[in-house]
Amino acid sequence: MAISDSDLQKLASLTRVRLSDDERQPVVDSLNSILSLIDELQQIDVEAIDAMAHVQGSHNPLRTRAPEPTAAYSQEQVFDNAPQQQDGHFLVPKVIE
Amino acid sequence: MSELIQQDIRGLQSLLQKGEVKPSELFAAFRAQAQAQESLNAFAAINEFDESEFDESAADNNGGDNNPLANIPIAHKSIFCSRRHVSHCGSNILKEFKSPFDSAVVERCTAAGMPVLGMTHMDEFAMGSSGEHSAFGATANPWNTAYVPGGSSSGSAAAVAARCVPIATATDTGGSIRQPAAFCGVSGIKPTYGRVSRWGMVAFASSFDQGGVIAKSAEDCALGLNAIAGFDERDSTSLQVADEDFTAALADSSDSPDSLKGVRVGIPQEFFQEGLDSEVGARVQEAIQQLQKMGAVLVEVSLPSFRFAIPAYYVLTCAEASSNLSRFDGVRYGARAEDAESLGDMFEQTRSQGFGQEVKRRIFIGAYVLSYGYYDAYYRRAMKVRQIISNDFARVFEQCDVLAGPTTPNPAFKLNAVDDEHDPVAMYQQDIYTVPVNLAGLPAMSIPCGLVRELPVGLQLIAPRMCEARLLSVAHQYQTTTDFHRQSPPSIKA
Repeated sequence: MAISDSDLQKLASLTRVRLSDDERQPVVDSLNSILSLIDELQQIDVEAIDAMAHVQGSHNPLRTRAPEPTAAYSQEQVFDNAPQQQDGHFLVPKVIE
Repeated sequence: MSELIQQDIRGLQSLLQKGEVKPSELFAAFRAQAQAQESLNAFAAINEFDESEFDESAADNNGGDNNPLANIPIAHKSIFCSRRHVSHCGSNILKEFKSPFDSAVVERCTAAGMPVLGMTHMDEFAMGSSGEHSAFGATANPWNTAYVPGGSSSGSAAAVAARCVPIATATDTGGSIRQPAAFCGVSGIKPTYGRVSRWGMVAFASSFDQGGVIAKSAEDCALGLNAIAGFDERDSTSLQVADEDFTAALADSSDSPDSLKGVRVGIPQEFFQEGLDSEVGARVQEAIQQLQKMGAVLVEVSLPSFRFAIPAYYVLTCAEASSNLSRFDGVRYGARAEDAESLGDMFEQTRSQGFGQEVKRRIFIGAYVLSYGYYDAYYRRAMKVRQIISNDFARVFEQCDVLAGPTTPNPAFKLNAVDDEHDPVAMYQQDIYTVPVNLAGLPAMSIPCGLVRELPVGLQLIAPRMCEARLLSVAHQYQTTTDFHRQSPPSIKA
């Protein structure tokens, strides 16, 4: 399988990464070289093999939610890194166009 | 000072205990070396001396046999969250990011009394095998500054090799501890998946990532692993096992000439085929013969699915990365593009400006292999190949106790030698012997075993899950009869 320019545009849209017109062809080429590597996987027989999602075996430990917040840091500390904030909210550009 | 920075951890602790050096003097000595080696670009930040971190009465209260790490300086890879330091992960998108909480690894090292010398550079989001993919400039190899140190734990390996710090934390997803350790002539361990908590360790590929350490010897790696390993309920993949003293096995092993008697060392034939530099092969074979001289029994083994490890690894890790890196959107932390006209515009501009080319490539591949119509052909298939590779290892470990082989197919290459803008796959092949280990979640180490064209090369040892003690013991015994691990880069005074 090969990736075309329109495939790349779809991927860019899905992943919210924008590429300039100049960047697109070199990226298509490098992705296709990676795909040739990945396509080698078609040569191995995987019949009757279960997909492995966890090296330790499937395991999903749940814990009882503590009654009090457990974070050892304050709301103020969280907002230290916020690019823009207002009244305890993260401020972002308009959502609806 | 040059003697001080060459000491291993027990040697430094002994000097501290005897009062021959104060903790602040020890820190100052390594700090001076780090500053003298600034041109390597190993450190993202070097800390000032902070009195509050030192316990000058450590000789009485801490240190010694009870806590050999007390007052031993450490450097942390910039992937570990820390309240006091920027964890930029080699990326512009986290250029000024300081976490509101400490990662488990940083917490544990601090609890062990280790002052932080600084944060080390790395390939962006741990994606790289050379140290050239940082947004903050390439790191150089202390053995020859025209060459790469390896990656992604480039700064940690270079810092230890240049004797700027006795030990550094690092992470390994496909070889990012072992490969730079090999290129820089130092020892590095990647533990069993789940041994070291990933709480606060910025995620690249969550089912592969594992924290570990790089130091000058297997014994120092064991001490470091004691500090950082252990169950953590905040990491749902953390192994619920009792704490282990990884140095205990080292103390037990005798220093007699046949200290490896009865140890079955498996030699995977696939690790010695086409693509391996002949001199690297020669150094590794010499190391294996040394193991044999020490009583080990060599067993020829095979990992038939070996050649599918790299493709499976890139499918799975790119898929996990594309998911993990979706959190970098400019909303709550990290860089945010200015003058965006809408939320969507802000996401796209932030990410386009903030991520480097290698990161973008992997995000695209990840999204592709997970997308409708391709999920089964790529992602699901790669998960099955992962099971096959794990099965290969399980079968091989029925016949042997550890595996031995080269860590890398070649010694360090020159900076800018691999044109991965046009041929990213050439760089990916650097990981050929290391990625199978991460697919199976096994523990592995790289230790120095000689020079090829004046650059270090590594012997890789792989053990079954949970057998770090065995791994460290074999490595330690090898290091009692050889001195490759004691060799410093020519530019560092011995």
